[in-house]
Amino acid sequence: MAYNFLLVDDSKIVRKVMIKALAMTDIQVAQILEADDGAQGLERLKSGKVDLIFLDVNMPVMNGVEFMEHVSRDPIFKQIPVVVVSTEGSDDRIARLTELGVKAYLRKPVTPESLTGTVAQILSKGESLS
Amino acid sequence: MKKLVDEIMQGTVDVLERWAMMMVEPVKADTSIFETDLEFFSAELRFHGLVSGRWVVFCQKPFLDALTSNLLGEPEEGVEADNDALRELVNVISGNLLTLIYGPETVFDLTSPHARALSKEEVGEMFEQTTICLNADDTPVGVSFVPEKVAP
Repeated sequence: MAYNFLLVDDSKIVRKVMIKALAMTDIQVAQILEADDGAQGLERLKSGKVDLIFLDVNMPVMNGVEFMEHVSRDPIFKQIPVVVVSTEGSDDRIARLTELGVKAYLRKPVTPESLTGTVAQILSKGESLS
Repeated sequence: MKKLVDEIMQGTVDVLERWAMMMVEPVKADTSIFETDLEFFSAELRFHGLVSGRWVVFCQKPFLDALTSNLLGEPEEGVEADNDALRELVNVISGNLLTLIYGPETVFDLTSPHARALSKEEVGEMFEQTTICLNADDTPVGVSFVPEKVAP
């Protein structure tokens, strides 16, 4: 089965690195949508089916916490698993993101190995499949 | 002070090796390690919390070329790609170093990183701060910690 991913990160180079890292895993990718910030991420969610979201925290316009506040209030979007990929290391902020429904947290720099393990574990639980 | 310098060195080496896949060697923190006839570029990120200040990464074009090439697996020309890579580098270094130095229980607010050219005078001023330098893939790069205030 091939999956649709949404990458929300203001850095184009980070999105390219993530796409490259995903290509190096065994995970089958159907489509990767990209967004520069949380607001654009919400628009992308409305435009098509997404199985898993990779989310940065520190972004302009709408940051990752604000994005999760919107997602957690939406009965459909809140079923999509979210993996935070960020430099954010504080326990309090990670706890807040977990409260809002984030399934996993990957600290930048992300390796293909950590990406594979986390994504495979989440997708194998079928949490994203609507 | 030595402990802080060691932590900055350790965290920066770790990021450059693991994220940018660069071969890294610590070198003396001095302007003489840079090319005299090349422009300087920098990215900085401000943080606020228990301590406030900024992290600055500064370098020249050969380091930017090596960084973007390593990250993407192929060379990518253009100022925007260079600035994007440098902004993300300071972002990753800042997050990792703040946690390494102050622990995961300490919350900081981080601003979005900002990239700009740096004059030679400004580079000289970086060496009045807590600054470390490295050769990464044989190209020099510096990282400065510039604290602004300590909460009582």
